[in-house]
Amino acid sequence: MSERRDRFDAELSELFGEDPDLLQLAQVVRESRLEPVLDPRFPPILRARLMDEARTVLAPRHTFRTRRAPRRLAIWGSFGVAAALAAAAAVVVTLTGGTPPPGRLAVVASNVSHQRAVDPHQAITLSFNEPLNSQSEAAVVNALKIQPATQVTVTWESAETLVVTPTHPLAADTDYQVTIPKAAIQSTGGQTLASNVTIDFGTQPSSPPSPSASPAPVLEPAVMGTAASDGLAFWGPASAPGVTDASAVPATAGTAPSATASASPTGSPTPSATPASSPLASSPASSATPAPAEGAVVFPDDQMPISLSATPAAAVAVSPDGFSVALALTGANGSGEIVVEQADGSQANQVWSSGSAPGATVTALAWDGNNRIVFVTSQEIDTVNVSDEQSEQLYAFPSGGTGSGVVLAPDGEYAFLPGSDVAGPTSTATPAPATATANPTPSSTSSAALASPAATPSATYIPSAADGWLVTLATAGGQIPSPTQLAGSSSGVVAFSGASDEVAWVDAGNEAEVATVLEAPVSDPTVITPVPGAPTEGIEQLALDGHGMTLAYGLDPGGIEVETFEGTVLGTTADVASSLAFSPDGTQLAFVAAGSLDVAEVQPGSSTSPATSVCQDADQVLTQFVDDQVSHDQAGLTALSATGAPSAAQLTPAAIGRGYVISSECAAGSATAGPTLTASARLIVDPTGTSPGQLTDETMVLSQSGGQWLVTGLSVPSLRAQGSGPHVLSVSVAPPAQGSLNPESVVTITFDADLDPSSVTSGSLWLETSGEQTIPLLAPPSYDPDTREATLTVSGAVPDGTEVVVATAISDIDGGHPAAQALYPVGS
Amino acid sequence: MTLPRAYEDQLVERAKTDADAFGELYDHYFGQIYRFAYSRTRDQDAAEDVTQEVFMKALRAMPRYRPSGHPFSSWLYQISANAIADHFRQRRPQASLDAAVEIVDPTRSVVERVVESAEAARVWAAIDALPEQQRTAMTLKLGEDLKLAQIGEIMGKSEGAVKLLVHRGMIGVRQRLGVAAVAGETL
Repeated sequence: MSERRDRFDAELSELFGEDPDLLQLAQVVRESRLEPVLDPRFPPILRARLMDEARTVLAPRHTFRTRRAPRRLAIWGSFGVAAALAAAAAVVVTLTGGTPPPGRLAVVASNVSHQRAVDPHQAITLSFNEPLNSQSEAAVVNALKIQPATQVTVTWESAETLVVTPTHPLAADTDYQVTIPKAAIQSTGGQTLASNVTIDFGTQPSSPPSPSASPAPVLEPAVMGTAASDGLAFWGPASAPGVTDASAVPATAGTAPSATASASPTGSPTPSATPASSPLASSPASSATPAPAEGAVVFPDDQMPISLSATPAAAVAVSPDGFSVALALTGANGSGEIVVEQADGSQANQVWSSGSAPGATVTALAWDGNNRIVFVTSQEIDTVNVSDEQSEQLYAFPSGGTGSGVVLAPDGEYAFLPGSDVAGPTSTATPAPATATANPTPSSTSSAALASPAATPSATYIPSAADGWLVTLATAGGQIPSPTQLAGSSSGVVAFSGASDEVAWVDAGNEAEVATVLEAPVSDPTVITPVPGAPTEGIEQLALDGHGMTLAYGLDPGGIEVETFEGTVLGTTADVASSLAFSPDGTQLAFVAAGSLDVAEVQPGSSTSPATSVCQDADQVLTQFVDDQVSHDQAGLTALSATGAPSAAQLTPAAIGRGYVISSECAAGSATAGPTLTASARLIVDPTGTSPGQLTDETMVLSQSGGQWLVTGLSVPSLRAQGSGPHVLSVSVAPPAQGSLNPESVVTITFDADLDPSSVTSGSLWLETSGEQTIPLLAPPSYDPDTREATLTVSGAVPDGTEVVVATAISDIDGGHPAAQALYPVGS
Repeated sequence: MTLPRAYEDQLVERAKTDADAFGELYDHYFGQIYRFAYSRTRDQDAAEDVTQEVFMKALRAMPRYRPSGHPFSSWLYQISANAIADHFRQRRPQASLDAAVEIVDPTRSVVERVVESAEAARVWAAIDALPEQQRTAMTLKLGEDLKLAQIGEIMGKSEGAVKLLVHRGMIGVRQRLGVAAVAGETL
C-alpha cells in the first residue's frame, strides 16, 4: 500500500509560496504521512463480502420506472410462461399455417412466436424444416430484421436452427416482429421460402417499483464543533452562512485570536444563565446533552469557531444584515444584559441591562428591520434601539406569567404567547379570540373538535383556554393589535418561518388522538392548514425554513425528519437534536446533537413541486382506469369517471388489447384548488397476421371529488399505425439528490428500440416548460444502450408542466425515425 | 497510481452490472480509501469499518452512479468523508488531541523541531484537532496528494474554498504546535 511520496507537489508551492516557513511545514507534513496499519487478511475478506453482495446488487437492470402494467398482462404473463414451456417442449410448432408444402422451405418452430409474455432476456430461436446452405446461413445474418430496431447477434445452432440473441435485454411489455426476406435463404436441397418469414411476439411487462420501497434519504450532517443546546441562529451571507450557538464550548477555546471576554465583562455562569427560553429549550432531549461549558460561539463557514462571549448566552439574534449578533447574557449579580458585537467577537457593546432588578434575565431575542432588538424577560416584552439604547415596553405579562414559553418571530414583529402569559378576558390588554370557527365557545377538548388533515381547513378549529396566542408586536408600546388564539397550540411547540410570514405549531391532541402539525400565515392565522405527512407523535421541536415550505421535526425519543410542506420527506437522521435552525435559504439545517453542532445540507422542496404522497391514491385509480379500458369494462370506467367527464367507454378504441401508463405528473393543491394528476397512457392494438399494429397516446386528468380520485378529463386521439422508428416507453424524473451541493434533476426517457447514439442530441431530445421555453441542460443528452434510456440533466428541480420533446431527428440503429415530433409530460 | 481515464470509465460502466468489474475497482482503490480512513481515524478497527462501509455503499449505489467528469475515486472519497464524519459523530465525545500537542521551545522553528524529532505523529495530531472541513481538506491534500480541484469535487466546494481550507489548516497546525504566527498571517 505504501507509495513513494517524493513527487513534488506544485500546488503546495502555489499555496504557500509567499510563506516559506508554511511551505516547508506543509512539505514536512506531507512527507511524514503515517502509513496505516493493515491486517493483510482484511482486504480479501472484504472483497469476498463485496462479491457476495454484488451478485444480488448488480443484477441486470430493468428500469422502467413509471410503467404500470395492466392486470390483464399479469394474467398473460402466467399464461405466457406456460405457453413458452409448451413451445419449448413441442417438437414442431407450425408457423406457416400447417405442414409446409412439399418442396418448400419453411420455419416450423420458434420459441417466441405469438407469445405475449416473452422474457426480455430470452434468445429467439427459429427452426427450419430443412438445413440451409452455407451461403444462406451468412445471408440470414445480414437480412434478418427485428422491430423495434434491436441490436442482435445471429448465430446458427445447427444447419436448421437459428438463434437470435439481443445484445441488450429486450424492452419489457413491447411488441416485436422478426422478419427474414424470402429471397435471403435457400436450403441445401435448393428449396426456397414461399413468403417472407414473419414472427410476432410481445415481451412480458416489468414490475414497477413500489413508491414505498424508497427509503427516506438520510441527512449526512457535517460536524462544526462542540456545542450546547440553545439558541442556534444562522449567520452571515446566505451563500455561506455560519451558525451561532448561544452556549457552547469553542473547539479552539483559548487559541482563537478573537476569543474575548469583553462581551461579557462580568460573567460567571450561573444555573439560571440558560433558562428555558422556549419550548425547544425545555425539551427532554436537551437534558440528555452533555453539560455545556461557557461561551457563545459562532461557527463561520470553513473557518475556525470564534468565541463571542465568555459565558453562555440564553439567546442570540443575528442582525438583518448578518454582520452583528445580539447576545442575551446574565450579569454577575443575576441581572439580564443584551450585548451586541461584530461577527468576529469584536466591538462588544452592552445595549441594555436590567440593572439590579431581579429576575429580569432575557430569554428570547429578535432583531427587527429598524435596528431594534425585541426581547423577552420573565416580566415583559420590550424593545431596545441599538443606536440610542432607548428601550420601551411592548407588553407586560399578567400575574403568573413567566415569559418562558414566548417564541419571537425572527424579525420581532410577531410573538407567540402561551396562554399563561396572556391577561384575562376583561383586561384592556387582553387579546380577543380570533378564530374562524362558527362556534365561539372555548372548548377544553379542542383537539376533539379538529378536523382531520384532509378536511377543509380552519373552519372547525376551536381554541381552548390553554392554547397560546399570536400577537403582533407593533411599534406602540403596550399596544398589541389583532391578537389571535392559535387553536391547539397548548403544546407550546411553535415556530416561525425565517421570513416571519408563516407560523406553525403542534397540536398534540388529547390522549386519544395523534398530534397534528398546523401552519398558518401570520397575516391571517385563522387560515389554518394541516401539514400532510407530518409525524403524528413525539414532536418536541419544530423549525421552518424561509417561507414555511420545509419543516424540520425534532422527535422524542430521537430523530429528526425534514419534510416539505406537502409531506415529501427530504431527509431523516436518528440524531437526538436539542435545537433546530434552518439557514435563511433553507438549504442547511443546523442542530445540536450529543454536544456537537451539526449542519446538514437539505435540498429544499420546491414550493410548487408536487407531493408524491398526495397523489398516491390517484396512481392506483389511474392504473385501474387503464385496466378497465383494456378490458372494456364499461361499468368500471363509469365508476372512475367524474360526472360530466368525457365518456371513456365511448372514447376507448374497441380493438385495444394492451395499455400502460407512460407518465404521470402530480400537482399539489392550493388553498383554493385540490391536487390533480395529469397522466398519459398508451393504448395498443396488437398486430395480427392480417393487420398492422396501432396505438394511441391518451391524456387524462384526475382530480379529487368527495374525497375520491376520479378522471375528470380524457383525450384519446385516433389510433395510428405503430410504424417503424423508436417509440417512447416511459418518462420519469429523479429529483435532486438529498444533500447534494449541486442539486440536479435527471429525466429518463426509455425507448423501445436501440437508438443510434449519435442521434441523441439536444436537437432531437429536449425539455420544454409549459410555456414552451427550452430548459437548459447541464450536459448534452446521454444514452445508455443497455437500458435504452436517454437522460437529460437539468439544474435544480424540474418545473411543473415540463414536457420531453422527442423530435423526428432521433433514430434507431436501422435508421428509423418517429413519424412525428411528440411531447411527453415529465412525471413526478 | 491512477487508472487510464478511458479504461476507468469503461470499468465503472461495466461495474454497474458486473461484479468482477466492481472487484477490479475495489482492488485498485482499496489502498487509497483504507489509507484515507486510517489517516483520519488512526484506528485499525475504525479504518476497517469505514472502508467496508464505503465500498458497500458504493456497491449499492453503483447502478445509479453517473460520471461527473472527475475520477471515480472522487466519489469514493466523498463517501469516505461522510462515513468518517459519521464515525466521529457516533463516538462522540471525541478525545481531545490537544494534549498530544504540547507546547515546547517556542524559540525554535517548527520545521526544525518536526524534522529533528519524530514529531510526524504530533503534526498529524494537530491536523486532527482542526475543524472538520479543514481536517478533511488537509488530509486529502497532504495525505493523499489529491489535486485541489478533485478535493473540491469531493467536498462539494470550489477550488478557491479548498485553498482557503488548506491554508487556514496549515496556519492552525502551526499555531497548535506553539509557534506564533509570522508577520502578516492572521486567522
